[in-house]
Amino acid sequence: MRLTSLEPNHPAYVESIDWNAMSEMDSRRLRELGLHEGASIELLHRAGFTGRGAYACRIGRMIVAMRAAHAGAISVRTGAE
Amino acid sequence: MEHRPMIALVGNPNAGKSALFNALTGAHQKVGNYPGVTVERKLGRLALPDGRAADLIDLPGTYSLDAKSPDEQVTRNVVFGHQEGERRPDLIVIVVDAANLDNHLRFTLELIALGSPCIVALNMVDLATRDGLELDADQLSQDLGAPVIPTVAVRRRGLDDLKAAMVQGIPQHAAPLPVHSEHAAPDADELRRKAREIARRAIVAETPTRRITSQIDRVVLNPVAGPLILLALLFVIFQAVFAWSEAPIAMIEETFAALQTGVEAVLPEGFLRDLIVQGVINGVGSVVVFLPQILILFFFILMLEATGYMTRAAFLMDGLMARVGLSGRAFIPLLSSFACAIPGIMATRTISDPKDRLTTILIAPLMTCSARLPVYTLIIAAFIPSTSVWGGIGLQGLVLFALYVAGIFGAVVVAMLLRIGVIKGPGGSFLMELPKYQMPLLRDVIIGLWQRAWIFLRRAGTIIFVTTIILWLLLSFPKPPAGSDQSLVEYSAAGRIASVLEPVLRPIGFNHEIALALIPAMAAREVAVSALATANAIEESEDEDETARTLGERLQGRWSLPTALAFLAWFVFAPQCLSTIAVARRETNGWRWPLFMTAYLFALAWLGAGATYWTAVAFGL
Ligand SMILES: Nc1nc2c(ncn2[C@@H]2O[C@H](COP(=O)(O)OP(=O)(O)O)[C@@H](O)[C@H]2O)c(=O)[nH]1
Ligand SMILES: [Mg+2]
Repeated sequence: MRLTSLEPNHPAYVESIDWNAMSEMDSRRLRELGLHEGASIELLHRAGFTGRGAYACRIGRMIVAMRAAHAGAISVRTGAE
Repeated sequence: MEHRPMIALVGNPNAGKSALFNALTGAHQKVGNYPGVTVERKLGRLALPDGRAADLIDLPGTYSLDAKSPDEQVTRNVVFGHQEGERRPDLIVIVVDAANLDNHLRFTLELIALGSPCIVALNMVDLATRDGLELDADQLSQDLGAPVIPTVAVRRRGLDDLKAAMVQGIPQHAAPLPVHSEHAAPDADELRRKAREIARRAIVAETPTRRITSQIDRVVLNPVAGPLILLALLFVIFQAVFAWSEAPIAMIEETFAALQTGVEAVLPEGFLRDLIVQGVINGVGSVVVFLPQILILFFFILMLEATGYMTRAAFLMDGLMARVGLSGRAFIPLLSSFACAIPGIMATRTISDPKDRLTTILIAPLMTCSARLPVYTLIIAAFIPSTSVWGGIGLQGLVLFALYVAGIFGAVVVAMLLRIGVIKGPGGSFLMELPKYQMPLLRDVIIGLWQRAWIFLRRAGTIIFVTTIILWLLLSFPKPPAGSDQSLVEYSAAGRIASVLEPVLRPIGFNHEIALALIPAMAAREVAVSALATANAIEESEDEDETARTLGERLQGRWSLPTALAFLAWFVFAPQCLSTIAVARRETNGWRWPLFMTAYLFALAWLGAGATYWTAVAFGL
């Protein structure tokens, strides 16, 4: 399941990340922000009246804002690690 | 020879380096720039418990030594001792966020692997506790192989232990050069794994708590309430900028008036007295009155940053910004540009996409900075009646609001055009950490304000001081021969220069006096006001019988309403600020973009002022 289709406030785990879907710079930043396979992740908020703005999600202990393009590159799985 | 040890604070962004730096050095700090780059260099003096003094530097935050941005390169170079104008640190204090250990330990391990002396400040333990985390500093120290000192920078806790550890950690003899990371770069994934492992062992207990941050976010980031709250906040800020500044502005005005009277009483009539009274006090005073407004705006910006709200604002704005080809990150620099475009342009460094960043730099001067306020307030007070329209809204305030909106609207259009034209290409991305909410620390906010005030006053004391004197001289000489029907100002050198410009400005309704004010106002917009004031003061001194009138009253008699409106429109767009152009040059590494910026803004200013003038004339105003 993509992060974008995850229910808000339902903790999950990162299954895989399509690093090729983003620039090298962005993949580096995301890694620095704690994104890795197996990290715990949770969708928290979506900005914008129409619900088409950026996503805020918790990765590990950090809250990270990203656009749909990046959130869509993250596959998640619910349940135990 | 006495060698003062050099200690560097290094760590991830938001680890609390600056807070620790402020707590350790207090008022003993110097802010400057590294040569050739606009990276801030913050140096402070610190008294160690063994009686020695040490130099402390606050390095820009970075996530790794694999440096990409100019900020990160400075940090990297300092750590390796390669930074021009900086000694190699004798000791590195690695600042980590205790509530975010696994993330911050990765960089810590990378730094420790270099082999230079370092100690770890385990900062923000209060926030970790708030989140239900209990940490074992000894275990961490053992696993890292470096001393670990728990600290709470903002409550000044752990500082004595940290200083004691510094004394222990500074080597007696010159430390070996750090291993060059190119040769010994540890594998990134391996480091991450190790960091997580060490973090796990350091966490003794983890009780889930209801986090304050997520509760606030539920309201503040709500799709409906969030934007409304942001809008309300911006409204309050701009209200406060005007309402709160009235009293201090009046005080500053009185002070300068008293100063003028004082000097007039002491000095004999003549050249020197005129220069000081009409030139210096008058000119510098007309600029310093804006200090209160600048400080109020920066107060709010600093507060929003310190609480952690600013990044939320960026998050909320990202959708809108994306539509004009920008990123939510541009919101912070653009908001700062309402105070002054210089810190705004410097703040674009946090935007990683080069095209996003360039676009933001190019439109930053369109945000109505506080240097335009002197011009706006003078003209509005003189030409816009202080009546109410539509049931209670003040017309003067409305005009001012319209000027702000015109700038924003111009920026939106320009950004869109730039992204289709000169800076074509796919939009960048938006990736940003939203830090935990915090009670801001008044002390840090005050230090920040003091630094802003100092930068502004230094500008008033240098650029504005000098331009005012030169202008006064150009306006006063040469004197017209006896019996000439030309006025003193028209006959002067400045008057003749203005006459050259006049043909270009005449079509958009500008008169000789405006042409004259615009030349020195290239240095800084607010100089336009002091220039008008100086020119009028000189003229006024000519007609002896005339009673003293305010500058506004004098302008009323000489400018038509369309001319005044066109003058306002000109200042919405015109790039009348050399410092902004200079900063844009530094930040874009060349003259190409600042020249482009200057050209397009002047074109916009001419068209904007012209359109205003022609419309106003057509309506018979
Ligand atoms: N509660 C708490 N807040 C802190 C502590 N240290 C820093 N902060 C706050 O964390 C935020 C980021 O700190 P700052 O010094 O700017 O981080 P830097 O990016 O490393 O320079 C600021 O709002 C600080 O007031 C701490 O020990 N405890
Ligand atoms: Mg800092």
